[in-house]
Amino acid sequence: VTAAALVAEVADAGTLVRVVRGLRDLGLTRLDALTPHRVTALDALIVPRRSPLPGWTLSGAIGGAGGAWLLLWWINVIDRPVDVGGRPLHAAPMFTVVAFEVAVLSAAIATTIAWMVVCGLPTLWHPLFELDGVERAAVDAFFVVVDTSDPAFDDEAVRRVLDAHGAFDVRSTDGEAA
Amino acid sequence: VVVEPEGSLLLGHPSDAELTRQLLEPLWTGHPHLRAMTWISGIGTVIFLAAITYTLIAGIGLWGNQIPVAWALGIVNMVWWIGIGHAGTFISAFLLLLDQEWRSAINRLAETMTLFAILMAGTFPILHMGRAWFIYWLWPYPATMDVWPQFRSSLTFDAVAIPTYLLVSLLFWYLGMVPDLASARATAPTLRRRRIYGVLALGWRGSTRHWYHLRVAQGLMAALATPLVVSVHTIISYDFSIAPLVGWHSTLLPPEFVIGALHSGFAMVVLLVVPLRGAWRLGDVITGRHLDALGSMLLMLGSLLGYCYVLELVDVVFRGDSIEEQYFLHLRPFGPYGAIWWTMVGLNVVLPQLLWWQAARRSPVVLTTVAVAVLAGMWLERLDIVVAPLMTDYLPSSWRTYTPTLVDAALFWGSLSTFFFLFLVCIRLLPPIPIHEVKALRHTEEAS
Repeated sequence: VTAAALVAEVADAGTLVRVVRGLRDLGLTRLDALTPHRVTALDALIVPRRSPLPGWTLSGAIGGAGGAWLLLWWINVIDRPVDVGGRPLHAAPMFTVVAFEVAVLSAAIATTIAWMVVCGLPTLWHPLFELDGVERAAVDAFFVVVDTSDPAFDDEAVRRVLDAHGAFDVRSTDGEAA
Repeated sequence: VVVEPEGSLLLGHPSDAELTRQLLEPLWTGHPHLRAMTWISGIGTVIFLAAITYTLIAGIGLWGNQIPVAWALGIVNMVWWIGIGHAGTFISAFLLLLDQEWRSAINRLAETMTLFAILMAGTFPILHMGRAWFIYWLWPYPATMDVWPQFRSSLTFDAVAIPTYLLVSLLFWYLGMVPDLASARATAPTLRRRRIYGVLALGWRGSTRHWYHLRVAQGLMAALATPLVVSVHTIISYDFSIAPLVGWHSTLLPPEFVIGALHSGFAMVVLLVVPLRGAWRLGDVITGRHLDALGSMLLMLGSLLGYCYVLELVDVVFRGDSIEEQYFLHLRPFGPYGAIWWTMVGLNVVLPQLLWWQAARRSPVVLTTVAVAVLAGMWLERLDIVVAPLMTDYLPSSWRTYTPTLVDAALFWGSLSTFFFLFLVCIRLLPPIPIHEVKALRHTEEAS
């Protein structure tokens, strides 16, 4: 949510879920919520599709394992073969160990980077941070965020839903008092 | 049927704001005892650095190792420290996959422990190489000498496994900490600190998208870290089990190493968590049920280790190899290191049996005593595994008893001090308890 947005605080996690559900019923899709801890019931309402992260993890693992194996093979078989008592130069059981470790490492790095990209982090400044009190979302406050550029956005209807659930302190990110 | 231990994972009914304030308190105000501990361990850190410098300048002739005992405390300490790290990953990864809620309150402490334990572990093999400044020779880099590391040797596996373990643990630890850094950003008393935590929090907003993808990422990292833990100590055991030496050459070694690693690691978790719980008055967040769970882990791992010890002897008798019988039935229990062997069996296996009683598991004093015993016992086990078989190989004329030197002692106790120093500094600066997980726990407990 980077465009103008309507932000309102609600009393608790349960109310937040009901508000978001009410807004979804209006046909709104560009919704978000700020919570101090994970509220699992919100996932299906707000996150539109499955997380792309597992794909990145898998690619990282395959790339890491393949790359490591290729490197070991090239080192031990092509560039500098060392005959140790006639043992095979392409020592698959031994290569497996290093390939596995490198796979885990590259998968972990891929997962972390993908997570940051998907979440848009690091973002040290965000329009939401301009609103006083929004930082309490990391302490004990629950906020609902409605993107006003949503095609289904109707100021009156949205405010009606917010009011119905006792949402208070309705503000918009461009700083105008609501 | 899973029997839930009695008691709650969170006592009292703190509000989210109270929880945040209570759990971030260690960042804003120091504790006199912890400050004293930091200073004392800081002195030990100076000794550690001095011993490292002395070793680097004069060489590893300062250590007690001498042929035939080419490996001694350098390797013992490495194996022991890596093992300690394993419990942290086990708690944060394996127990996450198993949905064990009791891990929430203690997993940050355990992961922090893991990071510094790996750091300590990594120091020893680097020093043991003698010329530590050539450490990069262990990794395949395009050298003008056209010499590559020999990847058919298990020692190069360590050079891959230990840095991998360190990096993956670091990423996992940081990932879980981002929301708590945002809490610190919101509540820090000064602008400067708000800025520092603000940068560290990467701009976390607590958006549902952030939470959802964070949980997915943590799940994936846990799924990666779980086999990683098992693989790392298995690889460490390859350093021994691949060698054709009686006492080392056994397929039992990999599982025994992993079990022993977790045993010493859980003991270190107890040793760190129980005093901190007292110092920070966290009895309502780290409850009797947490201690109970940690005690049960120690009991289970101690008993599993006992099973390994018995199995080892059964194998020897069953195979009927005379040289093996001589080592396992005579030299090890009654030789020069016999007392060490019996002590470590007592400390690792017999003493933890106290924890069959719930009262013992929930008593901070008994639990800490057992934990210290297990840590000592596991160190002695590593000593017995690394050194004893080398002292008495196939040729009695070359037998030689190993005794550590003062530099060895300074390095070991120094590494212990440095570990505590780094740990104490870290929990003073970064959120030591995963606040967001405790909050989520509170909400699920209230909902149910």
